[in-house]
Amino acid sequence: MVFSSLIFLFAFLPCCLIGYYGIFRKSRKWQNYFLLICSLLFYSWGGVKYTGLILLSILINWLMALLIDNSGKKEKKNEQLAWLTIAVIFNIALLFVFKYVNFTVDNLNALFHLDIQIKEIALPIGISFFTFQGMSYVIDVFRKHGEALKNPLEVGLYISFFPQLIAGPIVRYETVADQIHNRRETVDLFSNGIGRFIIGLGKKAILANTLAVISDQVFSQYYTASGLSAWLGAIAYTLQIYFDFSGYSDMAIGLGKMFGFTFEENFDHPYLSSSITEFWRRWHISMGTWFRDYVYFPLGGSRVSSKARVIFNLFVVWMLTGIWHGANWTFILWGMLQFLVIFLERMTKINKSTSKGLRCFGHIYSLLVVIFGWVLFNSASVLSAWDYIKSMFFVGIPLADDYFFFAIKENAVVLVLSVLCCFPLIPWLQKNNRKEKQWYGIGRFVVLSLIMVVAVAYVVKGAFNPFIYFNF
Amino acid sequence: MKKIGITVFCLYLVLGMILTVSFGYYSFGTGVLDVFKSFSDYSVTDSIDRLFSSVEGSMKSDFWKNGEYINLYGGIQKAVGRKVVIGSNGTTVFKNQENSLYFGNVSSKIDYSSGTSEKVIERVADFSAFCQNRNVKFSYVIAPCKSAYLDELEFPAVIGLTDYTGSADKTEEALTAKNVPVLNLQRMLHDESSNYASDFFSTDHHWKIETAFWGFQRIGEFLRNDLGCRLDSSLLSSDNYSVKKLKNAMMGSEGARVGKWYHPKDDYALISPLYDTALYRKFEDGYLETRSYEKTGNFDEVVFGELGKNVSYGSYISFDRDCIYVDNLNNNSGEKILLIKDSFAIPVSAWLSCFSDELWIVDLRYQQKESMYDFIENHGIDTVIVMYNPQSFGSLDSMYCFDSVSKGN
Repeated sequence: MVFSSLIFLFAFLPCCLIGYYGIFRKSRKWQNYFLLICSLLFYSWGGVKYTGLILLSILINWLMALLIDNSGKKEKKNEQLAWLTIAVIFNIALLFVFKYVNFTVDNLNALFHLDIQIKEIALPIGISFFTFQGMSYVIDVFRKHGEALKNPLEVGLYISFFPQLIAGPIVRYETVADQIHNRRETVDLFSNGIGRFIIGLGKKAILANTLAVISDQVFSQYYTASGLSAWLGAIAYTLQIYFDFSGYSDMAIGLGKMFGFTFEENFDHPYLSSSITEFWRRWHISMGTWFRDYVYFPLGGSRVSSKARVIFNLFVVWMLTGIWHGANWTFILWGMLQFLVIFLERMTKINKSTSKGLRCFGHIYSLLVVIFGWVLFNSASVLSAWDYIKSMFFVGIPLADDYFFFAIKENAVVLVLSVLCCFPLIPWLQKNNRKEKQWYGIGRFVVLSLIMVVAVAYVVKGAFNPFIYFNF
Repeated sequence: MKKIGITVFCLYLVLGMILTVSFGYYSFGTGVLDVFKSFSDYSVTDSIDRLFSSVEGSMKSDFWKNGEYINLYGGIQKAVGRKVVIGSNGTTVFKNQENSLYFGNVSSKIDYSSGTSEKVIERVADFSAFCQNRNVKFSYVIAPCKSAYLDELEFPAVIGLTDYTGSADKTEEALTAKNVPVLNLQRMLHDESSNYASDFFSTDHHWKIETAFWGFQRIGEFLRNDLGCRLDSSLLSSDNYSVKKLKNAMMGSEGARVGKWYHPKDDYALISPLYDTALYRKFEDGYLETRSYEKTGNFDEVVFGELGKNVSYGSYISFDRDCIYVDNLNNNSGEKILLIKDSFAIPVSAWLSCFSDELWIVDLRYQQKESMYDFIENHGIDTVIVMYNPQSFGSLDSMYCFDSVSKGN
């Protein structure tokens, strides 16, 4: 099930709201159980056979956290560490088996001329997200950043809560531990949640899906595309992935608010960054902070004695980031590209420059690095990514073709609108309308209503529009 | 304002849900029943997955005010000046310079290389030989296709389409070489018409009703003059028919995917005999149990029935069904015609029913009970007409399974 589908909007969500605020409104415990059942139904909709996997993940993480907590109370540090290690290995093993084993075997066969045959294993939806949440739970309990929950159903709610189950944001346990029992649903929060949800739905259904038509067309026929068409396809994908993913995050955050949960922000206008270092503080923030807190800092971060060690720590983080995104060399190379640029920025300190000229240069080169990175990200193989990038440098191909002019003419409005929407329009509007609160309120209502109806129109016409990050 | 916003949002979702289920209860119910009926054929997890798919499918197809949302979507596309629209269900619809809609794709060229299928030619030739050996008259009619003679029109350079001109002409040539009587209406229409493309609906891939009537007249002449059928030639004259034009009444298959705000509806002609008619029509249908639907009356009563505000291409007699039987109560000539067809023959079959004594209208995509060889023997058929448009040539096996019962598409 996806948020931008009729079954979610006009069946699942209203039933959830009716159950939560109607039938179970008087008991926080039963509200939580109800949300858990809804979340498992949401997950099962994509394939019942994988529900067992998420239930197993919930059970093991719950058990391990209790054992960690118990050992901690008895001050048995080594035992605590052992349980934590087992829990982390379990989660990583789960991820490895379902996501990386086929890739590993293929590469071993290629590298060592072996002939290992294994059955193709299907990738369960959202496995990269819920395994990371499971690890966050046990690690935060170990670090005493949150209490171990005695009730496995509450752990189930944390790991499988439907707003962030399939494609994030990766909600760290310490940020929501208290909210499981002590959240407060208010009119303001619910209203903000609705607004956030609608904005996200608009980004996904109206902008991302329209841009996808251009990027899919060009990427599928890049070998015949002109240079300008290649650029158009790359820029369309750059915009598409932003609106697709940030739109989903907006919907997830909005849905969380509707049920009284406040999740941390996941995107902060990343295409306004003046360096790649800054980009990664604005793009998929929850993943970045997860790797920072659970990988980079435990390795020592920047507070180590040698520069070589800092570089090594960065290398590990970006290698893992690349691998996390997918079982393909393109993702690993994409991660390495991020590492290389961040490393160079650290060496040159360009990201810390206050010079206007350098900052302007920083905006441009950051966008270019991001765009080329997305080409690698979206390509089926390293070779096709290389061919695509060559097209962007007009190597052996014409400057423009019929498709380029046709696509620009057909999509001028959506391209301009998409670029505008990369800027912080809503905070600007909010800032400049503080004195005219009533008109702002009416205007907000009208605009959001329009976006909702138009987005539903786009959803109705589309039969199948999965999110890009669904593949994770 | 926030409370109003919350109320409106929740009401919108809840009402959408209630109205969809209320108006679409049949689709939801039959889908769920289907899953339970075949529960033992699948594992528990697969059955649950099928149940979820069925519910989701019903939601998509029967969502309340589906059509209005598609209209809104189409209106937005028109407002931003789009010529190519990804319509509902992901099909690509585009508008050419003549303001007609076509199904197509964004590709680099129009494909003019369409041919014919040897397997199709062989099956039709065998069927024709079977009929002729039993003194049953046989004809193969090629209905005209909108995607033909495309070089006479203007399209955006990036639009990909298949031109079926070659397919029709090569099929005619191959069948004629095997002594199969062929009537190539596509070529004839192009030769006789001043503007081939305008003979088709702008929102649909089918020919206009007036064009279909012209086709009926050519078929009638062919049956009488070339095959020697006992049919009254005066019934082919346009003077014996009235034409009533319904303005802005039909949204065709292409238009339905982009809505009336993207492209207005087509006009629709109701062409009825001026002479006395009395017809008996019967077909079977039903999901939970098969029921027989019978009707007796004059042409308008049987063919048009209760026409609503909006008509569709299938408003003549019926949409495609496995078998429709029409007995012309005013004709006792004994001329029994079997029409094996795709959707292009729908309006033709209505006028043909006034031309013959008994008419069977069979669509092999749905008819899986009896082979056509047995059908001819069992019903004493005098004349067989196989009428397909070139897009059907070789694409669907079942349509050419004359001598056996196919399993459908």
